[in-house]
Amino acid sequence: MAMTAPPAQTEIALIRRVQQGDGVAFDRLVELYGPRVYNLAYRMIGNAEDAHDVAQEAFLRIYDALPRFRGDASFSTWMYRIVVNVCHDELSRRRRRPPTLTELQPEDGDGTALDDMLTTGETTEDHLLRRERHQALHQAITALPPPFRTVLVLYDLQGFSYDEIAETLRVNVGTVKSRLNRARNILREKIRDQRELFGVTDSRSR
Amino acid sequence: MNTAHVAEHYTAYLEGSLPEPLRQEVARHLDACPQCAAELEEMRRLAACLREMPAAPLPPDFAAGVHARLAARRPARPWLLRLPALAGGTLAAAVLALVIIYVQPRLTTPVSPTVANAPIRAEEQISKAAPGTGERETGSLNGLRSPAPAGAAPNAPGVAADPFAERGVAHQKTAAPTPPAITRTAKSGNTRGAQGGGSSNAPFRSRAQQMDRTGEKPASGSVTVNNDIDDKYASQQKMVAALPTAKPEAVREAQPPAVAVENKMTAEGSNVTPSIMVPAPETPGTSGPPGSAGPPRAFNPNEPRTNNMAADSNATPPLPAGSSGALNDVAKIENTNIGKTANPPGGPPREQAPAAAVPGARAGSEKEELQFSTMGKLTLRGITEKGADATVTVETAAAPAALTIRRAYLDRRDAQDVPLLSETHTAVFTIPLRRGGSVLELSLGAGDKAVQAYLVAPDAGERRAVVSLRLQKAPMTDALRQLAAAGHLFILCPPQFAQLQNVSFIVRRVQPLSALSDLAFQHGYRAVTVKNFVSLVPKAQLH
Repeated sequence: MAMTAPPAQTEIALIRRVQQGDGVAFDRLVELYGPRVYNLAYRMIGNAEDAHDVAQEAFLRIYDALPRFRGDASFSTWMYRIVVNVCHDELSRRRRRPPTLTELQPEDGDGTALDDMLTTGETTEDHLLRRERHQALHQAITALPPPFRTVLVLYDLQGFSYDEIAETLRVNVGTVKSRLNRARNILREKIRDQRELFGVTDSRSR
Repeated sequence: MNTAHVAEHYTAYLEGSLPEPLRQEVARHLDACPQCAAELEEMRRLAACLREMPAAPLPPDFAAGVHARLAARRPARPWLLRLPALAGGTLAAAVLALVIIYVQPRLTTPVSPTVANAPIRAEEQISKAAPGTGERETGSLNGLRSPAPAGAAPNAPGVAADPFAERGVAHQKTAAPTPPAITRTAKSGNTRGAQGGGSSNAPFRSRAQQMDRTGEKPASGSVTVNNDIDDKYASQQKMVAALPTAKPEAVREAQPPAVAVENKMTAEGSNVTPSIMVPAPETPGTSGPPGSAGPPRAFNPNEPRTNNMAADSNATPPLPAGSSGALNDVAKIENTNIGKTANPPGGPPREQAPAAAVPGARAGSEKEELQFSTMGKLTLRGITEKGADATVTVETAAAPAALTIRRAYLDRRDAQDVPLLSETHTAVFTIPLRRGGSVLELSLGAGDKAVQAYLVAPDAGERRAVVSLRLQKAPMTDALRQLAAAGHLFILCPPQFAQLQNVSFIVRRVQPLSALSDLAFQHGYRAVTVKNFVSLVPKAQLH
């Protein structure tokens, strides 16, 4: 699900304009990065409604912090660090109160399954299986401990490289790789009872 | 190298990035250890599946929302005023205005100084516009106490709390301030939307008309089943009206709060209108949890989820096990209660229990009209009023764009203006239900204040249903326990629901049954069961 980043020149020019007080440029920045930021928040938070809020909050913080952005790091790395921090803040806040059912039950996995199902009435088994697979994965991802979740979402869903993740999270690459492998192992265990969704049919005894 | 050690290297091994001596060591272990080899294969598939995960679509109002939040927290900067996002907002306002104008002739014209009458008058309009209403059967499940199992004490609190009588009396007294819900629907394919139901949904309008004539109020807080049944479906309706015998543990005399659901379902000429009370057990797995009565398709939250939509699509509509023997009895009982429904027993009118003071409930305006934007072909409009019922009417001319209700109604910015949790909300709308089961996600409020419930229809068939939901606290009665024991329809009540006095939900979304997660139950959510309205439509009638 790697998404294409905007061209560097466009990015730099936009940032400069925003820093000079050009609000239109900031809106453009939101348009450019909105989908990626929202998707990161969605996978981190687990449901669309809260992800919507979290992603918007992240942009507010980006807006506040932009005057201090000096270009020492890449903008996307700098920006996603803020987004990740906002997500972690939200997850910490959740730990301090009882969960709502929306949080407990993340959505369809791609946020579109329901619409499609209702409007097209699609019932093919493959399609349903794929949706169930996405849904199961989405739920399992949002149940991962945040440090592992972050790495897995950035790498597997957002298409970041190890180096980019390391820079974003300010950890070394070895830690990123270790967390990713750990995250996948946890995920694999979580979806074990739904292996049929993933085409695993072995019946080995454990 | 042991198994745990190998597991540390799965990802690197799959990516081919292990340094050579280590890679060979891992490879040798994998050759010798089928368990690790299988796990590696799982990891390979997992990584592939993760990469195919689609991006969630960005909500259309996202950028405008960022802009609005920026503008709201800061003194307007000159450049904020000329942002393109504002143009989008203006456009949205124009669309909203159009919608209001479109709906207004029917819904807002009747609003009088005594706003409580507004829903009634709107209903009158609807009724008058609908000639040729048919006769209908109306039954009350309070009669079901007659065939109650031996464990059900005849003079149990259910008598004192004869829910329908109580509510009926209460309604007589409070008819004006608590008007019946506006029951407006648009049948599938009818794109006239707010301009009215036309003749295609006559049975439903006949319900509205009857309510208008009798002053009857939807029997919230009571145990009722009101069936609108076409003659050709009458026999089948009798079949599905049966309830299995409650198990002893489901008939305890404890009186946990209950939830009332009025549920209407219509399909191609037939119109089935059960009003269902949903008991809310004290704890999961106590009185009447799913599976306690063992119906064929009962959803058991304690079981691992094995739902297969494809398989379910061919499943027989669920019927209570061994229900055929009691079918006619129940149908007769329902018929004998027609009079009760239309003319509630006399006696001193009782005041309805006052709504609890609820954090987040707005104590301000006496009247508030809620106007929400339309998205697609869906219109949501509500009138709330302090101390009285709030009526929210949701109309769909075609299949609703699932999430629009939530976004329209539960967007936090909108929800701040909704007096949450202190009033009754009624939602009437049309949704497509599916074979294999559907989940209606109900929600009231937003954010930390949100209360959600899930209405689970195990197998609706591929039919469209007009659903009117009305959830309120109500005493647990024997009849409720029987309904719970039927085990076909569930509402998951979040823990905080127990503290609420008078709550209803609007349907938020419809999900496949498989979307339910055991996780909810692990966090104290309750599964309560009611009669399966889905089976009121015989499978033979499905297309």
